[in-house]
Amino acid sequence: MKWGGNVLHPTIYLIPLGDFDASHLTIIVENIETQFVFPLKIGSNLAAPSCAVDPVRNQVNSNIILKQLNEVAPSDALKVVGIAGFDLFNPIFSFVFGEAQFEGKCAVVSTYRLHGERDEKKPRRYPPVILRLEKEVVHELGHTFGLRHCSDRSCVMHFSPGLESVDRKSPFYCPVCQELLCWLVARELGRHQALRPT
Amino acid sequence: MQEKARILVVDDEPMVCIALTNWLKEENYLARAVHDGASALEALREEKWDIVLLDYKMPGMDGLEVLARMKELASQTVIIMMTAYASIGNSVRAMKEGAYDYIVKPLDMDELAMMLRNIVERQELVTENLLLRKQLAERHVYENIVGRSEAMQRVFELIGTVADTSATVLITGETGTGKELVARAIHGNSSRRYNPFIAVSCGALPESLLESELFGYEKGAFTGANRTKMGRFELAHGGTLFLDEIGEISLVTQVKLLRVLQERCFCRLGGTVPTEVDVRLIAATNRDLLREIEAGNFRSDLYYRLNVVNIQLPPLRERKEDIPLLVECFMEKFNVEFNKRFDRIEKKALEAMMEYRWPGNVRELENVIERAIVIDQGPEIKASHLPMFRSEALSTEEPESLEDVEMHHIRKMLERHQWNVARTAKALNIDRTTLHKKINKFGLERP
Repeated sequence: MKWGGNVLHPTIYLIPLGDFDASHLTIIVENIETQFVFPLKIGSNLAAPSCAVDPVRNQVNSNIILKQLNEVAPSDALKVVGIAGFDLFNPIFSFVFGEAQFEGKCAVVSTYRLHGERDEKKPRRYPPVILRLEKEVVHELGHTFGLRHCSDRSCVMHFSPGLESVDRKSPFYCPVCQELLCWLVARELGRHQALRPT
Repeated sequence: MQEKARILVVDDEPMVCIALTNWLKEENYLARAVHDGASALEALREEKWDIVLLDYKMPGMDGLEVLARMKELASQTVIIMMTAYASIGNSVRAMKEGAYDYIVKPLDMDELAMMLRNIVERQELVTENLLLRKQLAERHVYENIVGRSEAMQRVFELIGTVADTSATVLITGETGTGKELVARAIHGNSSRRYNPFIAVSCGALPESLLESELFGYEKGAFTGANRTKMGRFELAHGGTLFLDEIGEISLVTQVKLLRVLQERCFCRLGGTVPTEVDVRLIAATNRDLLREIEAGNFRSDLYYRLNVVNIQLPPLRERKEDIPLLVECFMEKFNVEFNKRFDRIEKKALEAMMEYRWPGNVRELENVIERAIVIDQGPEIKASHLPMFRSEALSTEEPESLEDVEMHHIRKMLERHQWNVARTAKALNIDRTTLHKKINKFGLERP
């Protein structure tokens, strides 16, 4: 695919935040890549700015992380998703699994609450965190393209305020969201192309 | 995709506004944020908002004050208070002021999503309820015919029953009662509705012209027939032919009409080849056709052919309870037409209307409302706008000469027949030429 004369592919970046182990991400890259036509790259770890940490809440402000991701986004980045192990909040909600810039470039997802209540006596819960993470990344990426919450409970774009609903939904878009996504991606690519220097 | 609802976020912290509107968009709401009470009130004045998420503590006008003013501006808008200070006292006060609910910051995403979903569902029910009520109310309006009186309800019922049949209908009623509207409603509710509706006012055409209008003519049929012309029967093929003032047609034309009704075919004037037509016939008259039959002016066989179904329209004086509804409908109609804002009628004016006999029926009422709206800015129709008050004033000045009496009577009759010279001449029992001469002599002009 040619972009303004350069042979550059718009790419989706996954950026591990703080000390998040990037090797976990290799498992989900392939699955996510199959849902989008773009290559997916894992970037190097990025430290969260100290101003993003709220010492009283002991949480990290997702809005500040999004701003930071926007600033460091590589030039060929179509979308950037930050992956964190710390707890996220935004100024209005007590916590968020993740947050996206609606129709924007960046999103952030945290695994902190995706582990659920830990009970050491019980065997490891299924499904694993990594599957939940994949769903949340696909969900937030959908928002960055302009997809809204879907009423289909098995669609990855279904609103999930808790782990139960995260586990219930599939990691895929329903046919309606998929159709909408195709249209939104085409629109986004048009915009992306227009913005690129020739 | 259609948004679920329109939500206005009012919070002095920009970051809160961004985060909340972003999430609301993801939840498929149309969201906009403003940062103070004054802007919120402005936004509410400018546009309709279904829900407002209102911060309790803001600099300047606080949330409670904004809430009170919002309730005055848009009582239907649901307001949810948001506060960082969980206090029972605040929540009770806010609810007393008309807030729908109260939510504590930082918000629980699930709780807010559920609350908004409940509100939207409730609003959908309210809207559905309003729609159903409106539909119920609109049963007082059938196509363009207005009436909640029992007599009109029976007419509506009959129209509904007869519309989708091919039965010939005879509509009877005084002038101005809406006979053509009924004919159009029958056509509009029949399976012929996508085919033409052709109306012919038989009284307005001289006999020779009426025949050629109805049946058409072949080239050379008479002097001036330099091309073949299709008649109204042919033009109405597949649809409905409405013959208004059927009582006015001559006995000769009645025979021809009878043949068409019997054989479903006719010949153009000057032609020999019969043309078959599939036309539904609706006729109307303000005459008592049975009396005309007795007088030998109307063929009884044609009458029975036409009168398969009879719809009798009541004169307005017999359904005066419809007057307020009619006034309202005409006000709406002429407000749009003349860009005015009339929305009420003076009690005295309505009383006068209820007292009046309305010889010109609904058409006369329509003209009265039109005139009242044209001559004033509104918003109220006043008694002084009504011509019946003016004629009362005039009647105190008794005409002196016989000529004056004649002039007044001619003017009155012209008004009664909406300045239709043919009908007025007939009512006065003089010919049209004489009537024209008298109109010129007295310098009478159509208002």
